[in-house]
Amino acid sequence: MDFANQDSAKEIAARVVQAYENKTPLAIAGGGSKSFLVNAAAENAVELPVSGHAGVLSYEPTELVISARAGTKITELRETLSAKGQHLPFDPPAYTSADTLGGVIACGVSGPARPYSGAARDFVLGTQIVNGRGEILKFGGEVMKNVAGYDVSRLQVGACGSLGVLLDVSLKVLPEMQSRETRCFELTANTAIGFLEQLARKPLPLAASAVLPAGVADKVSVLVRFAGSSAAVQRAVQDEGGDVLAEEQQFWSSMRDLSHSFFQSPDGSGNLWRITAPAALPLDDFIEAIPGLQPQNCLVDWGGGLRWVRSAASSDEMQEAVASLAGQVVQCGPLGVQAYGKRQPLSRSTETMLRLQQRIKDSFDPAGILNPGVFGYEV
Amino acid sequence: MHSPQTHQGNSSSADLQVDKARQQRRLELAHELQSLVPEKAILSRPHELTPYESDGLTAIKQTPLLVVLPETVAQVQAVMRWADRQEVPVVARGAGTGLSGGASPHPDGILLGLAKFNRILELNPGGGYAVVQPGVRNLAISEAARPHGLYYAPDPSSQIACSIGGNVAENSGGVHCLKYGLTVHNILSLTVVTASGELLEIGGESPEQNGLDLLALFTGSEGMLGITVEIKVKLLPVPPLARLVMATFSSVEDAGAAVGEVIADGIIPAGMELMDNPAIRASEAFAQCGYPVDAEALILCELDGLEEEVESQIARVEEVFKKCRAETQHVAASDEERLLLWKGRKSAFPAVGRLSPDYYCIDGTIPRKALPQVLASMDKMSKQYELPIANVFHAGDGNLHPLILFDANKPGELERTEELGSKILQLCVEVGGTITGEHGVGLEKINEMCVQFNSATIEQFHALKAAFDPKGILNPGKAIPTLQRCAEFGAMHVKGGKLPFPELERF
Ligand SMILES: Cc1cc2nc3c(=O)[nH]c(=O)nc-3n(C[C@H](O)[C@H](O)[C@H](O)COP(=O)(O)OP(=O)(O)OC[C@H]3O[C@@H](n4cnc5c(N)ncnc54)[C@H](O)[C@@H]3O)c2cc1C
Repeated sequence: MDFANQDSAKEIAARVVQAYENKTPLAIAGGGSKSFLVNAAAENAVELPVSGHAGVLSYEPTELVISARAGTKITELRETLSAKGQHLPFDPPAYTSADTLGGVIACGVSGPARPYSGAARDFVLGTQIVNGRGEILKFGGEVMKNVAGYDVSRLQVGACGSLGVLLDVSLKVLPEMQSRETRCFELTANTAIGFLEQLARKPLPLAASAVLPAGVADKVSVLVRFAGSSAAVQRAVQDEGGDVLAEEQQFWSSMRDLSHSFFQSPDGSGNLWRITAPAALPLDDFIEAIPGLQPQNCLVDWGGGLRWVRSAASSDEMQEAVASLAGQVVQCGPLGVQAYGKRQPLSRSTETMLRLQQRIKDSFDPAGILNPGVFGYEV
Repeated sequence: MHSPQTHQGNSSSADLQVDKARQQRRLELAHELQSLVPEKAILSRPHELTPYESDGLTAIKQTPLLVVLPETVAQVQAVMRWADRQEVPVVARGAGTGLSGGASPHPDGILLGLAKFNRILELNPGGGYAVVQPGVRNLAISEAARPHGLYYAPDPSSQIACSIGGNVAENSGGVHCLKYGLTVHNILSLTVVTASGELLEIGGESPEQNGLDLLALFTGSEGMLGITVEIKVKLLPVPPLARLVMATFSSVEDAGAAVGEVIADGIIPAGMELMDNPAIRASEAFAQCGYPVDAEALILCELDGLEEEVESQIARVEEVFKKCRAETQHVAASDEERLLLWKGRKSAFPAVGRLSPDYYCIDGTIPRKALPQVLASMDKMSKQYELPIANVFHAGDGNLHPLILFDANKPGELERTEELGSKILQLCVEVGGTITGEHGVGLEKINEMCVQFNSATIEQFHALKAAFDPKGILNPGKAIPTLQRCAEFGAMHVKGGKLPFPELERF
């Protein structure tokens, strides 16, 4: 039993109690690598460091469950699991070596496997949190099926710390894929997304798919990853064809961790934008709808659900364009610079939704001290 | 399970007074509702109300004041606006197959039946989804998708009857959820009518929305947070091949260990179910599906996917089972035989029901490694309480369904059964599991909630409920216990099973 870390949970709770009593806004600080995905907390917020609350709590491969403190590094989790031939199926990114489990869950980030294996939320089984009153609460558990009480654990995913400080998280894990192969197809912007949609309707062992500028006018490269048993992957690549992508593992890691050159060397000035959109939206329509978007400045992940854009458009222009596509956008700041993001207000939401979200927030954090402002609107 | 708390059949004058007042109130409310929904949508006569007096948990019977069967979303909204204003309790009901009393009516409220919302609104094979109304039966979705080579994955054993709205409310699972997930993993968005009658979109076309993600919170919320009126579900390609291995073992412990070994080998079967001897016998007698009735334990393990993959995995599973001392192994020779073997498992509840005047289904989840310990303790308790138990087990994900056999006509046996059930659930919590894997808390497990959660957490649940339903009109008294109730339940424990407040209703 690691007493130092037990103390760290109590310490975090004590800090929140104090902040609650003094009505001091808190900015929960994990590894600090995902600030570009959320808005900056209120200016007068005091930093609450949480990355010291770290370490794997329990891991039993045959139970398919791992529990760890929220400050545990994603890289450490990956290694722990990989030593037993298992992995986190939502393939969480580590943008830096400091990325923590808490940050991944709070921001709800998933890697390229998301459309085929599931999102971060899908793998959360239980959490322990400190709510805005400084109470330590435990939701869910360490078993796969559990419907006792409201599913507050999964509610924490993507809540960006606005409902509680994450202390511990239990996740479902799965055996690693036996074999992986990526195939590349040269297509056009108006056919790429439809091609991916068709693939997804077939019983294939799909694990990821992306669309990249091909460097040739009017062409795009569509990359499709197959993963599963060797037999299934062999059969799939035989049937579907395409060109073999060498070093495929590196490629998908670079998509996941945003270390791909697309994110490194911006083409022209401007911002990086993270846009989630209806996956079926054709790429040519998308490019046309986004102000000033050149085809070489768009990279598609999640079979069309996630589109990274480099553009010098203004925040207002971009938000309006993305809203018209039923999408969501985060302005991730200038490339390569650590900065806070800027989220789109809940534009497509109704008054009803806004009020409800505010009441939910109040029920966890009545003094409004936990990461106020992260969503870019009142909650 | 609990003794009925109805007013019918009581003859004291105080009860007659109550009956009269209820009848009066019933007529008043029916009159008010007539301006909101068509007259035929309101049921108020005793013979019309009786079919709704319980869900699948038949030990609790209660007639509602009225049953209302709206046909449009606008009508649901109108009814909710009215109920909110008048502070009338509303209990939603799908097909009424729930096993925890979730759809059990409130004595002073209306039962909102969603059976008329039975249309599939959109089937989009290209996009891999369907938009359905809440009253659509689970199996009807897969049947409609089948011609396109698609299906809806979660398959509760009740799938012929249960509604997708009920599945969302309970976050239902099925025998294939080890590989394909629960309801929460297979729905994309919801349209909900709030307690005050407003329309709410949860989730959307884009994979992420800014703000809080309420989809998982709403799933499994047992009709406490809103009325689901539309559901967008994911459709998956039907796997080209599915094959089933049936293996028998000389003890449930060996079988339990074999389940862990399959997973340790890196295989996630589409389904992995375990039954003990009493369950095997009952199912075989019911379905004549070819189970070896002398086996102490039986595993059904299904592998699906591309042909090459399935064949190689079948071989590996057989190898693992052999190492784990399987007595016999048999791979279903045809798809008909495979489905027949599943039929035995899926009819296990009614099958056990035929062996005994009554049965009571428990629904705990445990870490799989605790299986031998839990089985041994249950065996002891079964003897102590003199009540036989048959076990079916969603073994892959640790969800245990002990079925207690009893006779409600024997004095005291229902109470003993309830007590034994409660003990089993508490045992599940003790070994690190939970009091309900998929059937929900409802009225049934409300006391055991006090064992699983501390007071601060229970208060947080109540605060969250109030955010959705400030007046507490949706399914009041279910799912989350009051702290007072927990104090009373705690006090009951201290006295070693002797009930300190026999006059209180014990849910
Ligand atoms: C023989 C048998 C086998 C079963 N096997 C399984 C199994 O394998 N897996 C499993 O998970 N369950 C199983 N169940 C339990 C049950 O079938 C499920 O819980 C099912 O999801 C209930 O659906 P329903 O339509 O009957 O809901 P109901 O019983 O009508 O209602 C259940 C709950 O949902 C709420 N509700 C219903 N519709 C709505 C709506 N539109 N909006 C808001 N709330 C709503 C109700 O208020 C209630 O709280 C089984 C039951 C039986 C009788």
